[in-house]
Amino acid sequence: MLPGHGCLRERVAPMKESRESRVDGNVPGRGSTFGQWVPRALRRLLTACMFAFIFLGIRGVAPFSRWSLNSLFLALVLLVILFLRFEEREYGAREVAAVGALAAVGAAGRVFFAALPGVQPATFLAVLTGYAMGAETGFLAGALIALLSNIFLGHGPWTPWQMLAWGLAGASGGLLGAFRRPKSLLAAAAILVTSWGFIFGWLMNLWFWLSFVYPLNWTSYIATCSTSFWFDLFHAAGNLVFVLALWRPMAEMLRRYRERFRFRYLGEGREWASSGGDRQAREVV
Amino acid sequence: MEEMALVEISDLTYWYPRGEKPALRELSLRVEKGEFVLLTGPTGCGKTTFMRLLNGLVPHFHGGVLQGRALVCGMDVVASGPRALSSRVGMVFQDPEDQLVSTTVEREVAFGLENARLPAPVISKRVEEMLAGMGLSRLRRSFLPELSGGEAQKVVLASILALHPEVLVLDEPTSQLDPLSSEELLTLVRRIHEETGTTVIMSEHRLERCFHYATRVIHMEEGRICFDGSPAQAARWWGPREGAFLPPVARVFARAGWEEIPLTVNQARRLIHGLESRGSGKVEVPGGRREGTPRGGPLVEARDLWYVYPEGPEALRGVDLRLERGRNLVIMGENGSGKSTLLRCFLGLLPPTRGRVLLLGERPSRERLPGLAARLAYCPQNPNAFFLSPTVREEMLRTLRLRGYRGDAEEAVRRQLDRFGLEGTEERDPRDLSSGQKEKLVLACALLPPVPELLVLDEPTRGLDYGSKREIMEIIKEYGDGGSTVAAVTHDVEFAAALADEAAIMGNGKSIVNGAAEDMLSDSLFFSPQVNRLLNHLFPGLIREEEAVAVLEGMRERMAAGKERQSGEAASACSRATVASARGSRR
Amino acid sequence: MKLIPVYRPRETFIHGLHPLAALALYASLVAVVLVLQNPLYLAVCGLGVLSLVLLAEAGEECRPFLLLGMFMAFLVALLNPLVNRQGGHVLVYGPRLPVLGRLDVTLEAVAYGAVSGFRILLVVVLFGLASVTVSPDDLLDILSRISLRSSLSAALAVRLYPSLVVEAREMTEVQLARGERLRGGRRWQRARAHFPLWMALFRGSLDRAANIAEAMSARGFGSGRVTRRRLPLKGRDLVVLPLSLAVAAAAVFSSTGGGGYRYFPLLDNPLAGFRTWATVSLAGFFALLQVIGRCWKKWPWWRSRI
Repeated sequence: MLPGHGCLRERVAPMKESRESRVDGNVPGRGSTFGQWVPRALRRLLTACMFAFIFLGIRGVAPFSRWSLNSLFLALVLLVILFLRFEEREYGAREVAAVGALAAVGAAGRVFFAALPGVQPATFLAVLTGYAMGAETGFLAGALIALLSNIFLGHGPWTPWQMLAWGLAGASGGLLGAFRRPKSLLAAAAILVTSWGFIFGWLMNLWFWLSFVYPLNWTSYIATCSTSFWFDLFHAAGNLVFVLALWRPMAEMLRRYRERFRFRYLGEGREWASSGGDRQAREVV
Repeated sequence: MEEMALVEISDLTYWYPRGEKPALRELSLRVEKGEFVLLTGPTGCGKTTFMRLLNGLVPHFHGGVLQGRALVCGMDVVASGPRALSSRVGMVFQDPEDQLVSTTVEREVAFGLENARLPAPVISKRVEEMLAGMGLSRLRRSFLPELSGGEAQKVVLASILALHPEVLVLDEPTSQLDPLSSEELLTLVRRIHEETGTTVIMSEHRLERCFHYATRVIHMEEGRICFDGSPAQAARWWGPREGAFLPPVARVFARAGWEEIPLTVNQARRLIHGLESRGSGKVEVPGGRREGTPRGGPLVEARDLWYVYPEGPEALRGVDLRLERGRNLVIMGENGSGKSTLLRCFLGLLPPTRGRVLLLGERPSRERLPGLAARLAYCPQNPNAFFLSPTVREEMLRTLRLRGYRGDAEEAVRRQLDRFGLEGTEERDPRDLSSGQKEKLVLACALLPPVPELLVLDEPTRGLDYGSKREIMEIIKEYGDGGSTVAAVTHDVEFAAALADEAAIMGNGKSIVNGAAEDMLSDSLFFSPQVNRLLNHLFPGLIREEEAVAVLEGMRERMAAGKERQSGEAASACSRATVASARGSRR
Repeated sequence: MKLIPVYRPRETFIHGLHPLAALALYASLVAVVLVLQNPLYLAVCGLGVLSLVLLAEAGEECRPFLLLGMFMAFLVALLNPLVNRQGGHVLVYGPRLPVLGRLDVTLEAVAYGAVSGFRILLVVVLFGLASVTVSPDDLLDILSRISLRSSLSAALAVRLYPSLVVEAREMTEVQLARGERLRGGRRWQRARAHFPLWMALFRGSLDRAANIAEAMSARGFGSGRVTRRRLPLKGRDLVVLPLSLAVAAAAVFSSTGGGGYRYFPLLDNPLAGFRTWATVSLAGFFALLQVIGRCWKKWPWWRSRI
């Protein structure tokens, strides 16, 4: 508790009160600790399994080296791990709502551009979100864009891979936080987003290649990637246009959205600050 | 010690972050259990802020600076915050679209209960009870975006009530709904208040539905409470003040200077009962209709217009309509009657399936529409769809550029802002303005030079209070008197009555009737304004508020002089004269 | 623009499965298709998938997936002969190319390409069937038990999407009437006119997100949430779920335990690796589903029992 406010029990109570309110609903506080503990343990277990799986697969041990099935399986597992990883961070209502809205915008953009091969704003939006709201949120938004737009465009074996690729694109947006000067930021963003146009395509080809092309070697992988070259090129070019035209104003809008206001209480001349009902910010206080 | 009130606020002052003026000033208020409080006040008066305070969104969600004390249900708002208060104070906001968080009705109703961490059987029970009680069972598994606005708002209400709150707070819950669903919702709120004794605190623009029912009316202006009392007292208090926040029927009595002010049509009928019987029965209202000044051909013409949505319903089934230059046409009808489709066909946004549309002498289409921008202005239902620029000034400059204006653009913008009372908003984001200001800005943009020949309005008064409505009405009429033409789709009968020369009522994809506004809008239970329902049997075709005020003034004078007997003929002659003069002054 | 999800609710056995059971069924079949190499088994699977599509009465909805799958199959069938040099029977001696090396087309590679193409077609159709028959909403429900916040975001996104599409349409129309050249004219000009529109839409959806966040806080969001188990597993799920898993396990096991089929360097005889019990059990699985499904549709008593 804040120093010097012992006499103000009622006022300093928000922390206490919010805990009480959990109990208020007839369910003891056990749920929250359980909720934190389980995903973490699950994630560690899954990570260990995944590495063991990949190791055995590369060594050629029989059921693990069936890449056609296992690649899909591993992508799903990796996705679950990353989700659990990002779930551990606590999100406030504003983040949850923003991720939902961004995913909807990305999906709408994808559907809107469905007729133009390769061109869509989803990659751009994922990276932008990652930059403006942190890598975790970027991942979540990217993955959700894929999941959601496929509810409308149709799911396929590509869904987990798209989720993974866009999620990672979103997470990579977090790297852009290192750039302070607006010019270098824009340049870095342009390079990152444009190159994601190709990286995305290569990631997507990975499954196709692993499952349906034989033998698995560099030549065949390059040949696979060459089939999607034009597609990826359009994707990258579209991304570049989106960054140059939309990055600055949209990043500014997201910055303003994220602005969190604390309040000051002037009752009886004492002051304390608290955030807009958000735990992290409250912990900062 | 006295019993603790449900809401107790003392000396509370609050500033929003970056707010220069406090949104609430030294507010003190007690609300007891079981009251039905109606909050009125112009936009920006602090109603919404006050309501947000009740469940801790102010200051916990919005930040800012707060001074004073607020106790709700015995909990200190500052100390408790929205999480703790959420199961005691239920809050319904304006737009259902902005409140629904799940995908299906059932899940939406369960959302609050799950957050409250109630045990599963309790949740199931409450969800069932809410769905059954609100008549939503049929929609249980429906996808929320497919619901109509009225249904969606009912779902919001159900999901709030499922928490069994002690206080139900509603912030203009019907502002985005059509009249029928609004009535349904307000009736529901009344029923809840009656049957469960839940305390209700509501702000609302559709006063004719709830004003007389409230146990208490509070009027706020600039963050302060100006009036606090019973509805009858409120009506008397408003008497000398033009009655902007009274139901239309009470307002005309207030404006006519009556001492006793009725709150419903029924009460009003009783009040004027003695006076009408003294008249000679039906009185023909002489002349007064605005004569059309047809110059050139019709601006819009639809002949045997059909529109069938691909794989969808037949939205229009043979509509014939003509709008002459210099006339104002109002199109009314319930939801799904084809009004919006008709408007979109007029603009060429939908190609007619059969029949013909002529707009400004051309066959409109999506490709041709931008070319007509200098001659036609379209104001959408949702002003947010209009705004593309980051500031008001740029928004207007953009409009000028699109219209191909060649004069001094900055000067034109300044003049327009002055004319519309929007000075000082130049550098603000249009999306941050209040709803009234937004609507005014849309009109300001629409009426920038070169003044359009045709103004197309879609629900221009949705969600506006009487004051803003009136200002907008003035603007549109002033524009109309310059010889221009309006085609408007609206649900708002008062607005329609004030604007229309002609009215068309749509139903089932057809224009059921159309003709002079006086004939269309009078003598109908649902499509006529309150004043018409009050006075139609005396003055058939009376639909406008000014006329009603004139009539009532006449009646009041007679009543004042009343003790001495006056002949019926003199009375009716008197009122005939005043109606005529009112109609004359309107021209 | 498409407003409706691919999912169509219907009254069939397949649609009536618990999402977990349905997912297990589809995932197992995908695994079977990906793991089995013998073209004869794959043919059985093909017929089985077809029967499932018919059982789900989803032929119409599955057609786009079929077309897309055929396109991908074509790509696979084309790509494999070009990159594969391991076959024994050279059909065509091609020229030397810089990256790919010598372009010899072998019979084995062509066969492998064709069968792989068929497999990708089956996988795509299976996924298509899954997206057509499993309600995304129920899936979200399952997701919400693992991860509350992302599932809430996802639900929100699903809900916001249609209103966003409507808003976009509305905005386009208004701006057309204002004189923005969104239609006609040069392509680049048209694109330029769209940028402010997208920004406004973006801004609008952020505003909406802020309002929703407020409404969520007002309804007590943030203190953790309990979810109810809304969908119980029924008899039919208890039949389908373990059976599909068993079929998948058997397929994986048989493919590792020497039951595999080799394409390179020479094609095996499909009949050599062909085992009657495996075929019968695979076909029997599909037949069982058919029988249960048809009876389910026909006899209300049976429907109420499982």
